[in-house]
Amino acid sequence: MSGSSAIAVPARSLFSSEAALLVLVAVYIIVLGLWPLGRLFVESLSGGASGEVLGLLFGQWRSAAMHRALLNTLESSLLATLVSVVIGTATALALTLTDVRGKAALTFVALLPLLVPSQITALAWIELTGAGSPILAPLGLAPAPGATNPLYSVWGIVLVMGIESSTLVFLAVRAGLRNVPRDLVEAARLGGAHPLRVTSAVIMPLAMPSILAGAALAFVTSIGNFGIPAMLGIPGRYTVLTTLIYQRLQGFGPRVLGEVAALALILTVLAVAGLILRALIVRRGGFAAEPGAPLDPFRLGRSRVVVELLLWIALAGIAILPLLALLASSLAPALGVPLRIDTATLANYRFALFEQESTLRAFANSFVLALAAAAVSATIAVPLAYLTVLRKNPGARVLDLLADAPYAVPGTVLAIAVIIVFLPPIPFTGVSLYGTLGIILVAYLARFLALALRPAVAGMEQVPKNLDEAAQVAGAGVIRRLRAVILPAVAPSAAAGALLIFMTAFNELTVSVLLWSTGHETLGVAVFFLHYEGNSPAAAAVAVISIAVTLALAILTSLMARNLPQGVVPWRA
Amino acid sequence: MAGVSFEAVSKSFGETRAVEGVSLEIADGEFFALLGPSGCGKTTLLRLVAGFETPDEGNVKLGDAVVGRPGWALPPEKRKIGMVFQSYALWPNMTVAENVGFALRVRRLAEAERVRIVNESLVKVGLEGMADRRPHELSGGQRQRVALARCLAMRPGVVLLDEPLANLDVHLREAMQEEFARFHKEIRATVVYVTHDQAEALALADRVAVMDAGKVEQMASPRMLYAEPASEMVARFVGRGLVVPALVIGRNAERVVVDIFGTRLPVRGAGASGERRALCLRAENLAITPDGNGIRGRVTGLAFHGAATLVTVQPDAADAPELKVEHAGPPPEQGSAVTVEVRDGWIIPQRETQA
Ligand SMILES: Nc1ncnc2c1ncn2[C@@H]1O[C@H](COP(=O)(O)OP(=O)(O)OP(=O)(O)O)[C@@H](O)[C@H]1O
Ligand SMILES: [Mg+2]
Repeated sequence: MSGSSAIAVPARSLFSSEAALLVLVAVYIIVLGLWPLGRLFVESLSGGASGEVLGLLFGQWRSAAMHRALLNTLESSLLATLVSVVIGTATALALTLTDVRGKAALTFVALLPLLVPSQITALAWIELTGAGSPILAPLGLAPAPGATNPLYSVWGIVLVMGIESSTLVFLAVRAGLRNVPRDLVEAARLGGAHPLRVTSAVIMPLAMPSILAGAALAFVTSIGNFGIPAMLGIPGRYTVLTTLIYQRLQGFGPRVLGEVAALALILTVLAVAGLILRALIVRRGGFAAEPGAPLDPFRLGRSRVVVELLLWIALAGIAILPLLALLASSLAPALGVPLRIDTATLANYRFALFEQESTLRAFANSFVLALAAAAVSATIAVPLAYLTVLRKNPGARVLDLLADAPYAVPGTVLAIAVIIVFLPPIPFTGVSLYGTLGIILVAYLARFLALALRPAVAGMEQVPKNLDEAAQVAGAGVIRRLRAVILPAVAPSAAAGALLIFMTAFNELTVSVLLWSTGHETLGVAVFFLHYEGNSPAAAAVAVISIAVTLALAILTSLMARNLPQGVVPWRA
Repeated sequence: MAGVSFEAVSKSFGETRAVEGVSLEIADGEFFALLGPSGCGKTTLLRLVAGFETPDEGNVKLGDAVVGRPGWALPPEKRKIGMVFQSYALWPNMTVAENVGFALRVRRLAEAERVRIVNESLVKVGLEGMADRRPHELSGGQRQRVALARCLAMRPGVVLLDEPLANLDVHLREAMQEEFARFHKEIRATVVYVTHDQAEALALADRVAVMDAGKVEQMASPRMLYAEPASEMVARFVGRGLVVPALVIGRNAERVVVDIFGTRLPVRGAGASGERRALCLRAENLAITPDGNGIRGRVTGLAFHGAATLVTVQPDAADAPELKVEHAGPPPEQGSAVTVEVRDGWIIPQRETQA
């Protein structure tokens, strides 16, 4: 019997549907992220008005304002990194190496700054340390009325930014400490060394690469931070690169796009240098120590209560107190009236939610943007992760790496890149995205794909390859397999990634502050400007609501995370 | 229905030559087993048939159609091949019925027809009542049956099975072997069955290809494979043959006379006087005799095997390997002197060039 009846060999098709899928994802990543970033670099390296080679860049390089901003960026970021290393390492050591009680709760508090967006952290600290502080004023510790807030300075930026990025150091060090082989520690203890001695002589050297890697990450994050230097530095006349770019663009509009592109390039170079440093540390760092049994925590004995007390005071002071101040401010009656149980009012919430149209609009805009960014990113991340992990497609692997670029560069840089490309009308349509919600969405899609990709990849690695192959044998094409077999298997991981994006995008400021327009404000922009216009209680009210939303989503994600593979939720060990 | 053929197919993964110059013709409707030790390239060969791998050299054909050649392979979803995976690969998000009916749904079969085929397939494997269960609610043997039903429902011309019984216990394995044989008779598909269990291959297959290090060592019927292994590797791997050195002395009617450990014996095979050759001996062709002609030695081990005792004998000759003898009746004493009679032997045709 001949086989021709059963097996008809079709003509060799140029594009199997797998290749078509790859092309689709590639176009998405290139159009939204890589093309704008590429254009930004070309733009920033162009001749400028004078036509001189690299004229724009040299022009900026010679400007005094840029010099000042660059030095300030380095100064504040390095000092903030120092603060974050101290806080993050100390917390990680205490929570990993000792037998303090309530570790879950302490860890939650230590990671709380991760969930609160920069501008809200800054706002909370301003409320805590201002003349009208609802917490310090009753204790007589607040600055005198009329005095400038002491946080409006480089030290304020360093403190708040350091606290915020301490979570990154904490996570890195905790992961590193978990890889310290237990027998090394036990050998040292058998040798008669005191736990403190063991920590300094054995554990710290082994954890050093993790500390440095965490520090490099904290540095990169600090360089790109906008919310904190904007809230604290602009009133304190301390300008960093991100705020300089913002002020230029705000003051002069898109015609200074070339100049800010040059500034953005400098910012990018700093960030990339930090990331390369981190990659080098991670590669050289001897993380190779085979993960043995986890360390036995040191018994603190009678001093345990003291350590616990100190930890709670420190962490609560860092993470909870400012939020309480924020909450209190949001409940504050008119200016000057002291806040007591009987004077507390919901008027600020009413104002923010029902009286001021723009705030309500901002809620709606951010909700729509975050939802769209989360849904679309997850939809793109699943096929890309599939092609990378299960199909081992070399093209997809490259895309998987490239998709990180728009997330690795500072948000300010990406926003400018997106303006450069999407300010002119889209070819053949005559429509420009500039001045619409569309341009913010484009930037979010480019930036947050990486956040969805990592959980999707982690989830995909748990899917046995032969589930896909069995469906292939059954005759199912690639789309069919994705829908019927792959998606059901990775849906929880993809959903966790989507939630992560929603949480991040819902409160986003850095990108949207450069892209918003009247009628198209985001929640981050709303808080920023309410505070800027002097209506801090309303800003506090909006901030409290958005934190509540974020916190609820974070708890939801954590509950989901119990059934998810490792690496899906970043803050889970 | 279609046969499968390989024409000088090679496939490497980096430095590893997983399949090297394999040529095979598997006839339409044949039950064909691929047998070999772990890592010898069986799975790779199977995946070349399925279309998951593209050959580096040579052609893979289904029937008359070339489906794989260097640089190109017809995608698996277009081959209409059935496959049962070692780990079953049941989709956890689907019920048993959905698993079995998936390929039919992909082919847009009408609902009624689909339900009929699914039920029919489930009845065939004895899983009538389990249509609505999920894979995790089934035992290992039941999962295996679902995987088989899923394959049957496709009505494939070629069925590929990759160590389908490796994860089952001995009893289930025997029961499933019988079912495979029955299905093969019923559906008359070409079956390619991968296993590293020689008993399984011999029991099931019409023909067996023994593979080693990416190459086919011998391709023959189970009977031939057992009686006339082509190489030492096949002799050892199939039926645990014992390979001993022998010196050819002359001929005696149909048989060749050889000298092993100073004893002259007539054996099967071919060889010229004066040649040193490898001889395959099997435990059931050796016997312990109180007197008579044979290899003298001493009993060094006794293992009770139910009906018989496996007696290990160390011949008195220097450098001689231990002989394993299947012995019925009361076993000899440990350490006692015995004579081992050789009733049959086979001169391995392959010269000891690479040994
Ligand atoms: N995708 C791959 N990448 C790299 N090497 C591979 C790949 N697949 C198989 N190999 C190698 O090719 C050789 C043959 O592998 P194959 O899986 O075909 O062996 P097998 O006979 O099926 O073994 P087993 O009985 O253990 O399943 C092995 O050395 C294996 O390591
Ligand atoms: Mg195999």
